[in-house]
Amino acid sequence: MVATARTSVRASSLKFLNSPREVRTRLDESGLPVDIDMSAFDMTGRRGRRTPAAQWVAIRSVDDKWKVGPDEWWRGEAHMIERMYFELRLEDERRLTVFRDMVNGGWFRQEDV
Amino acid sequence: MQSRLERIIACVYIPHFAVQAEAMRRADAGFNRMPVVIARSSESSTSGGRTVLDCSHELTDLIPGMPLSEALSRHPGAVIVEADEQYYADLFEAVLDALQDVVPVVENESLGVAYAGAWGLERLYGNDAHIVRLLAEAAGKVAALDVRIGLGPNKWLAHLAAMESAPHSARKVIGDPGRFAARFPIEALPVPIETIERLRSFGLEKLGDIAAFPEGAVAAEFAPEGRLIWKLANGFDDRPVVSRHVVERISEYTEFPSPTVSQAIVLPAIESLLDRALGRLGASNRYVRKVELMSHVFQRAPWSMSVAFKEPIGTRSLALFAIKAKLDRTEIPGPLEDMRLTFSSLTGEPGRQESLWSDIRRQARLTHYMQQLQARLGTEVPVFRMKELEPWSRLPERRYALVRLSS
Repeated sequence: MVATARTSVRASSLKFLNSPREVRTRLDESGLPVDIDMSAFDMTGRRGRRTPAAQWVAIRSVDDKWKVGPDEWWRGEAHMIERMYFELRLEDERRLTVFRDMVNGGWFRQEDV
Repeated sequence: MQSRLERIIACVYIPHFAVQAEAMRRADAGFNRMPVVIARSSESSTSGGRTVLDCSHELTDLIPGMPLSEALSRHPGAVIVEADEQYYADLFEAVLDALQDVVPVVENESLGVAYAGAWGLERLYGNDAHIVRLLAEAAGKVAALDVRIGLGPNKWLAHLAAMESAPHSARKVIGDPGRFAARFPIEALPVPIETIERLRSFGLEKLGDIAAFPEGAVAAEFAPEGRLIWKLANGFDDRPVVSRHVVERISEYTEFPSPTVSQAIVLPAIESLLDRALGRLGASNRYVRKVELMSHVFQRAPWSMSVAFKEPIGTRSLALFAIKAKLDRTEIPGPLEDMRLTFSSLTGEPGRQESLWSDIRRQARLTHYMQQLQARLGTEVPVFRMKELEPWSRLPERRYALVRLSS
């Protein structure tokens, strides 16, 4: 049998793209985000050096929201996935996609959703 | 010696190899009669300065790695010689090549110490005495060195047997391994000098002193080498003989009439060496990715410079252009006495056959550029490609991943 010409893929050699990154938010009474701390990101939207002071930016609107999960519940509660996604428009017209992890309550940012 | 070969390992031991190498190339016959210390600059030494690489056999209280200042305080009349490690390495490589003409498995343990797998050669050579004779003759053909050979069931015992044998003779380990190893000093252990001093601070002078303790105690006290130390002290060694990887090189050498820093003299010498080396390369229909220049500097440590080419080359003009460009940016530390030019990272193919399909050509070019980068950087190249894993996944982080490209 002729070996495949493709490079073999090993788990240790993979770097997953678009991993969620934790972000701080302020919520209103209904649990929707009203402000988001942009201090982890530079003006181009890429992850920059975290500055000591928070840079809160107001959220103008929630343009869309959807839910993913509950999924992978068979792996136990620690690995279960349940997320509420929000597509946000900030007051400076930037768009951002965040989700709330319904299992541990944390907020995360994720691109190219 | 026994006539039937069991699994036997031979240790070819050339004591004080650097000193012997220096004595070989010095016309001064008195060099052998004076106490000599070979010194090297060591960035890793705790003293941050120069340390002992090797010394004459009569300086029994000096250990490789010892700070030079301490060595001189013990022997103020010793002659200090600057280490020429490239010369010692080349000479020992020649010895290893000669040994490998006799037995197929040869391991380069360290400068002056090599292991040879002497098993399975009965039909070829007969008994082990004959193999020992052939190994000694092979080493002797390279240079008139004091070669000692030890035979044992493992590398460590073979090494000890070689250390105990007389000049130009051999010894074989027979009987209890622990009892044989017990009488050797702790300085024989292949551990750093700091560990030797720690052992001595516990009153342990011989391997037998260490073997008297339980394995766990020694392993705990002298971690991380403790377990190895205890095993070697008891004559146990399960390390396999790992055959050396022969890196093919083409090397040419010239001497300057007098030490010089003038580029008007150095460049023509480089051009001449390049022509000669390329002539040998062309005969084998191959190309080179990297060239190394090495020179002895008058009253200073040797100087070296390496140049990795963007493309594997086989022509003089391209090689000279790259070498000149780097030489212009490099400061030569002093007058050069000679010049050695070495081609390494030789390619196997005489030319490049490209595929009809553009995708495969693109992949082949990418692989080729990565090989160039790897030769230049000397490490794995951080180049990745995006791979689809589960593009349909509702979780964005599961859809794509970066996979390292391997050359």
